[in-house]
Amino acid sequence: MADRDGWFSRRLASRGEVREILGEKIPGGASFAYALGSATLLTFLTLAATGIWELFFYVPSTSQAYNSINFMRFQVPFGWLIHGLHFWAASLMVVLALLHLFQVFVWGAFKEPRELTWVLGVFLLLATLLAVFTGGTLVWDEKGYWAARVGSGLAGSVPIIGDWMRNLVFSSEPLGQLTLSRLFPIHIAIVPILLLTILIVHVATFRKAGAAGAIQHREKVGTFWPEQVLMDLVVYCGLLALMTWLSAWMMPSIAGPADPIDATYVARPDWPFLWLFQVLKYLGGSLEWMGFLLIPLVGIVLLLAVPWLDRKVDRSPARRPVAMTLFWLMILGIFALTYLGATSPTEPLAAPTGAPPATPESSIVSTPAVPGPSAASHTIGGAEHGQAIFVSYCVPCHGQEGKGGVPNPNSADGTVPEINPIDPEISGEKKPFDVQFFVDNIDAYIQNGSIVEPKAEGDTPKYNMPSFGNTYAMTQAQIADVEAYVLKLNGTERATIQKAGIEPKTYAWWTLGGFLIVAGTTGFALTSRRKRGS
Amino acid sequence: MPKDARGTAEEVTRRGFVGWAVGLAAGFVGLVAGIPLVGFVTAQVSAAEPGDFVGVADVASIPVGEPFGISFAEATRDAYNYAVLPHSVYALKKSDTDIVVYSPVCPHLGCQVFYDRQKQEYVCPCHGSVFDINGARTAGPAPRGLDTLPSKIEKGQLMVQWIQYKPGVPEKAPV
Repeated sequence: MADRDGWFSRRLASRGEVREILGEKIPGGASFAYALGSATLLTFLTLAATGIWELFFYVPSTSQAYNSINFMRFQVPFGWLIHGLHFWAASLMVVLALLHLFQVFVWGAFKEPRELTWVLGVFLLLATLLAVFTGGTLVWDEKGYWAARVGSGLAGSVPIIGDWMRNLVFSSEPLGQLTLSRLFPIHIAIVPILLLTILIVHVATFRKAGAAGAIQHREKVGTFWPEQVLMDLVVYCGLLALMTWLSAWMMPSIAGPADPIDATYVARPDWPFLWLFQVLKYLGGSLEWMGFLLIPLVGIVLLLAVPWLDRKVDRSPARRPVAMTLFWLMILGIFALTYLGATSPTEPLAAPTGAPPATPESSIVSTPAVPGPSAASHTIGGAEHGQAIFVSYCVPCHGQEGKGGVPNPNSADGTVPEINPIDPEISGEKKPFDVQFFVDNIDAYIQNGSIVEPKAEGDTPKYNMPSFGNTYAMTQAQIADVEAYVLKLNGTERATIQKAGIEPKTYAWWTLGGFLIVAGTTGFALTSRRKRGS
Repeated sequence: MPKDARGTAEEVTRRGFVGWAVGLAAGFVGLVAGIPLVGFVTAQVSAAEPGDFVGVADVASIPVGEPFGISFAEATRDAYNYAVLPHSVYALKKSDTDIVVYSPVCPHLGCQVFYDRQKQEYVCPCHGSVFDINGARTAGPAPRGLDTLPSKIEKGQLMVQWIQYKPGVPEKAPV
């Protein structure tokens, strides 16, 4: 530091204070086993940084939120990574916080005088879960919208204070702009500030009592700097590489735009809430609020009370059989419920059977198409949900998976055209397909319908392509989803990155390579120190 | 081995090596997170696409010899929003076949200039740049004259292509 005459140290933290922070005593010496807390903290900072960056593009409006996120993900250089890191860091933070909590429980590190650290940690976990829930809704896609809808319904079902609670978090009923306008500041300001405040006190109480260290007493005492710092940092480097890898190879899926009147979407919450989702299946009717409120509340109170329920001075798990049994039972229960929630069957996709009725006159639009792009053609739909809509609306005429073969009496072709593979005039000859060109062409048919060429003049073909958009037979959200599915049937992804910055997989490989160098150097530095230093 | 207050000389060296590894790891985080964080906010995301020629007025309705303000609307894309946006231009008609169209965007810093009929000059309300009737700069901080826009006459209609030019530089170049 170029602070020779001490100008800075007279005004800023003095060297002694810095030394005290870095010189924190670690009983038994530094260990990778102690990296979970700092890994959670660094993952939170990752979320803060990427979250603030996402605000450069995100718009909290029900008509623009979804498109603004997709624009950021597919049109902005590195948008795929900023969004991917935010998405995966959220899941990772929950995992790390839980592992941290498990470790502290098993090692008995919550015992006197560390009760307050434990209690604050439980509140941090709750704040994290609240951030995960509200963050998911901000996308305002099918998943986020229905999560908000279920959340609002649950809140409203609580006796006495239900309406008050629902209004507090979700503002309006039915959900709409006011809901998003409320979830947005909760997610980006209130919860993070709350989290950060508790976090500071959590770390302060931790430092006051000092690190608990290993269960078995060891004579050796290490310090935070430099070995523990290196271990914490390298663990985070690995997590960062992991998150980059996931962002490149497992991009967050596209659920399709929020559609309040779509009954075909199977709502399922984000994984941290699956166990609760499953509990709610068992407790219907007037017991609903118990599942949603009472069970989690009892769980939270029990968690908070852990330091007072397990007061034995002995930290060893082997000598705390009751606590450990209860702990494992709870983990098993939550795991089992999460598994059941994740794998519970959904309605099978079945097309209506039998011959479809002839196209009624009223479903064919004879007025010219609305000029300009439709809302659907510029919205990235979800292919997976598009399939469900396709099955009920399109399969009767276009056949299973759009492979055609359905006879169309009195038409020039004799059958309804297949759309898998689709006419190259619609998809474009060029490969890979120009996605927007392809979508615009299908969109024109779905929005406006088309009159089928008759076999001979005067014939009336049994089926014409009905108008689904202009007649409001399908919503623009549903049309966007179907378009994504039709593209997928033809081997094209609707959601493709237009501007990557650096190709995702290339970036992931470079990151992995960089991490291996860091890990190798760390391993060398630590082992040489241990070998010669002991 | 000589001992000092901080341990053996060898121990100090090793301590330095661990510190060096910390620096390497921090550098890794800085690069892996820094490249996307910087690239994300500094990239030009959506370059304005030059629009098509739009019919803006009947040539016959434009007076001769004096800049004539014309407003027209054009369907445009603004990132993920599709909207009809208004533009305004000045057309200077010398004859029925010779019309020059000026963008009212001040080449200084992008304010909207207006034509002062009394003084017969264009004035920018922001920083006082002044342009004569042919768009040449006569006073003020503007680095170049008013920008002309591509235009043509078809079937008695004045057609204009709206282009936004970069302000603040001497050369005329699209944004």
